[in-house]
Amino acid sequence: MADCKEYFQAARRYLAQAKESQRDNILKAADMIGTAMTAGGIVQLVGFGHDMEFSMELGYRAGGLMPFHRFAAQDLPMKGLISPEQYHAADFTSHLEYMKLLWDVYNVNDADLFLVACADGSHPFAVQVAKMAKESGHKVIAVVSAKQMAAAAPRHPSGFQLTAFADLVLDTGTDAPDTLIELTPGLKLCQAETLTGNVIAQMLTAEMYRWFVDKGLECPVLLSANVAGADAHNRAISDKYLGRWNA
Amino acid sequence: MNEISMDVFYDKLCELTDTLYDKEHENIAKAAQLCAQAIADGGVIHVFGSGHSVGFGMEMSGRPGSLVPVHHINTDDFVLHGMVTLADFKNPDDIFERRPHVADKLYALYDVRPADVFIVISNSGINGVGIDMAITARNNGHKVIVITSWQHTSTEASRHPSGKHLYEFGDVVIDNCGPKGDALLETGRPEKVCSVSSITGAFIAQSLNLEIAQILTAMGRPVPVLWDSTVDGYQAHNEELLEQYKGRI
Repeated sequence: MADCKEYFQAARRYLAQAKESQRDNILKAADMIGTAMTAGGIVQLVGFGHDMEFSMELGYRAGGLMPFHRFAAQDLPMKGLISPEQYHAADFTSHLEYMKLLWDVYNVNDADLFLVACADGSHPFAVQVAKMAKESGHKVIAVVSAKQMAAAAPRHPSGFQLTAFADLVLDTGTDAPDTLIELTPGLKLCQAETLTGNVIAQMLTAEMYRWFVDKGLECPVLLSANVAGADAHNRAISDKYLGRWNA
Repeated sequence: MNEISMDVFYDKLCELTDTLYDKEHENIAKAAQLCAQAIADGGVIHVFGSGHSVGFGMEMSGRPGSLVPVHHINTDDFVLHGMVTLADFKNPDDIFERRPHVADKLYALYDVRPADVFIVISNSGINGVGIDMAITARNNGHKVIVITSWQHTSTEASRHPSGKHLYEFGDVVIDNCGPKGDALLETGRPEKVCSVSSITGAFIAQSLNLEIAQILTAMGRPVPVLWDSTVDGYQAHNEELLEQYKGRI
């Protein structure tokens, strides 16, 4: 009979390890983000391929903070910045100039902080955006798997990996390769990276909330649509960042 | 005011994942059985979730350790195929995922074959696009697996013209066991914080992945999974699999 207990158990080990090993970094990240937000900044979420799941975990979501915006590769064709053919081209990720196109259309503000997720720390776009952010004076927080990054060859032409441009690094602690369960010899299944990243994102959300409350500040939380008055509340806290959060 | 911290979240999450396993592991096994049979019959698994539920399809596909016959349906395809404009797609006054009768158009974009099975994910289970996708799949003879929050969907009226909820169209229904509104922590104020549906979704997606492989192995069938770079011959193996399902995933 099929059973998923082995996955639940394996996953929980990664989550426990992330909670204990990343506590200080999560608290530091909450402080950096709270500081940026109270100075009028929003957090630019950056993640490509599967690393986009980390951005999605924090971007415009009920129960989450409002001042986030996602750098999303699909905006390149969706916004007509490149053609669908260019988007699907084999050498797509080597076109670092595409990140400048996105940056320019996204209305990035000087006060913004960058939160860049990249499991192996080597995606050329992720490294490029972090580099651009760092060089223009923004704070950068990286989310990587230190083990996967150590096992990966740099793919950015600078030869650098993501953490070279980061002020703070959160480590998901997942293994390289990130395949958890060997069913039969050579048949390896399941990953922990997204799950661990998403749990880190929600632990960070809890600590960001506490950061605001402890200072006596109103925390800009999006309400679920089923709460009375949610639409009006959400529009009101979003309108402060109109043209930035939804760029 | 309730205390909110990473530890409070973590402890609540652990309780929730225990509940999810205890309450739903049999439904997950039933869903895995439908998916494994589809793959054994040459079919693929189409995964559809709009909004934040898009992550479920991403979680089930595209990495070493993932099954290859998984097609992740993305509502962005509406824009990328020129079916709606980006402005219309993002219109805040007419939220796209709440509209009825758009899913059948999306369905028609893809190479869907008789053995295929569908997984439709929606936390609330009340929005037009997910319900229409489930109806269209059923009308075309496909099995449908629904993933939803029972606490949410059972306490909120449907926005679909039929008045029905997504779970009513599922051959198997998996309750993600998450709270209404998706945020796990009560703050003692109107807002709740820390959404959990993508986390529970990842547990369910990965569990399906594992169990489908277990069932195919027990059937003596090959398991079409992407190998990681530590396995000899992984590149040729992966390329061959991707070629086998080309145009369908």
